[in-house]
Amino acid sequence: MSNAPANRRLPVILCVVVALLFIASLAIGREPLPLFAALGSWLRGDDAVHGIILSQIRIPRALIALFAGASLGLCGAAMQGLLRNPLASPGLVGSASGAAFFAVFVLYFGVSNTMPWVLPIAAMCGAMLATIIVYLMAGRDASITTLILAGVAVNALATAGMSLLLNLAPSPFAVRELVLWTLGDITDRSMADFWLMIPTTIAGWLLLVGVGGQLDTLTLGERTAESMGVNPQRLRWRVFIAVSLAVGAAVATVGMIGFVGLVVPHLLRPYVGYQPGRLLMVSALGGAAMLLAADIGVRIIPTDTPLKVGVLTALVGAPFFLRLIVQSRREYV
Amino acid sequence: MLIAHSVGIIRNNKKLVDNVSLTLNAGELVGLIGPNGAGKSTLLNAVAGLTPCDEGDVTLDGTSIKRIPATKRSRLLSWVAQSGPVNWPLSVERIVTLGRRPHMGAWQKPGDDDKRAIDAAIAATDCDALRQQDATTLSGGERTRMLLARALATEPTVLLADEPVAALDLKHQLQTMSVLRSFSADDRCCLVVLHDLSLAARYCDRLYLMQQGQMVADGITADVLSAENLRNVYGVEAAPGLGELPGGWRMADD
Repeated sequence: MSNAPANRRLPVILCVVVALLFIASLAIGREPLPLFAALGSWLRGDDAVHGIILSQIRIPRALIALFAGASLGLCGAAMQGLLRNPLASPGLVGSASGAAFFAVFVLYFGVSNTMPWVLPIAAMCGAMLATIIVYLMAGRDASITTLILAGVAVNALATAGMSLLLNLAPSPFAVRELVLWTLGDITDRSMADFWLMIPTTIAGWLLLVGVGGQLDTLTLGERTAESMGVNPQRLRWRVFIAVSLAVGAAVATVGMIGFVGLVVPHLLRPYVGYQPGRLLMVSALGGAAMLLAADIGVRIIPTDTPLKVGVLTALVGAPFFLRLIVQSRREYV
Repeated sequence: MLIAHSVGIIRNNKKLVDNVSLTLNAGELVGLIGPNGAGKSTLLNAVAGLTPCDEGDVTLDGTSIKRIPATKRSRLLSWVAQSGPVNWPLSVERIVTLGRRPHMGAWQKPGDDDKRAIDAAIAATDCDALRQQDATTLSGGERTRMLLARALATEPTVLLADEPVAALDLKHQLQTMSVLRSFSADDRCCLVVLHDLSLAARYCDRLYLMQQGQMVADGITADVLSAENLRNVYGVEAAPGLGELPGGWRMADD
């Protein structure tokens, strides 16, 4: 295995990148923070404005970007491995929009004001439902086209549902609230939001621990994998539930942030020898890096109205998606 | 010893396999032949424990195949699909390494035993030159050899191969059959679905002949490949002395 040293270095490099981006995310913003002074002020517990900015705004924001990004990258890699298709990201197959629809539903009826934990759970159920629908329509050895079409259909359904809620929204203010949320955004989040997303996120990640070898085996098809001791049925549900938990939690916290789960695994795949199992961890790191970077990007790019991070990832990701389709057309047609 | 006891498999009210029994003894290379749609692959899947039997049972050393835990089964028994898919452009070496998965823990790296088995499997199937090649770019025949190498790397007791020579050139047909032949020694045995009757005649210890889901003949090669059987099952008139044809191929001693 000629590229083994590079493989061993890749996770380390990604960890360093994520750490640097995390620190940058704390320092960069409308108010540039002298990090050490702010940290000192926070730890001392005095009321200096820098300490408050750090603890109340920057730290939750960076932590949420870190965890949501990692979830999106990891789930993208897991879905692609399971469906053996480089286009099967949570966004494209509808998990994310399913989660968003259910979350908007809960927001619309104001349930989350009194019971905040309902939001991630609703998003999770939405992600699960959407994933199952797509799988039923385009599961097993479906072609790329069928899978994308099924994803389009489910996305359309979720979008229609959200449009209906927007249409029926009582005030322009409520409309703006819902729309902003569907754009995907990590501003104005508190530590409470972070703690709310953590349980289901971690549960989803833990479910994916150890599936790598099974996803590798799946490269040879479900039947052969079964003959090699994998239970494809159990593996499928395990990944579906894990993705629903983690993506549901991410979407419930930051709204719709597309293309991270598509772009990151695809970029990293060649560096792990195209092995779906080894792609999982590096995709989680890569996803965290991408979302942290995008969230720094929206703070740096000078616009009158602040850019939403989901808009930025879509602007970068959509052309990438087009390129991927052109590529797969060349390969498979 | 692998035994199928009166196996029946029903799909959509149609009996694909009807009351079929077969035995695989240690050290035997057994051929499963028959025209298209005879139920050979379905029977092979049932023997591999991948398709549940609707009637009868398959036992491995006296234990019903469905009672053997999947991990243990995957170590004892390798199944090679007829033109199985390869979904990611992994290198040939990595695909063959997958064959060691049943022996390895989720986090384990291939050890010395694993590497030795992988090297042996790659050498036996003549895949050495393909080692670092992208598995999705292989030709049909190369891919078949790689998938056989994957199965051999598992070092199973029972090897079940579904038409492993169908896409191969002449040399690799003979080579693959002799790999199966030398595999079938000691406590190991192999059941192979074949269409090429002269290869079946030359390499197999015994043959089973299927037609429309039923076993119509079994026994030593000469008896099964009788002119009468060939006429009734395949609808062809056979040249006498099949398997020792004067123009029969042999591998060059290179």
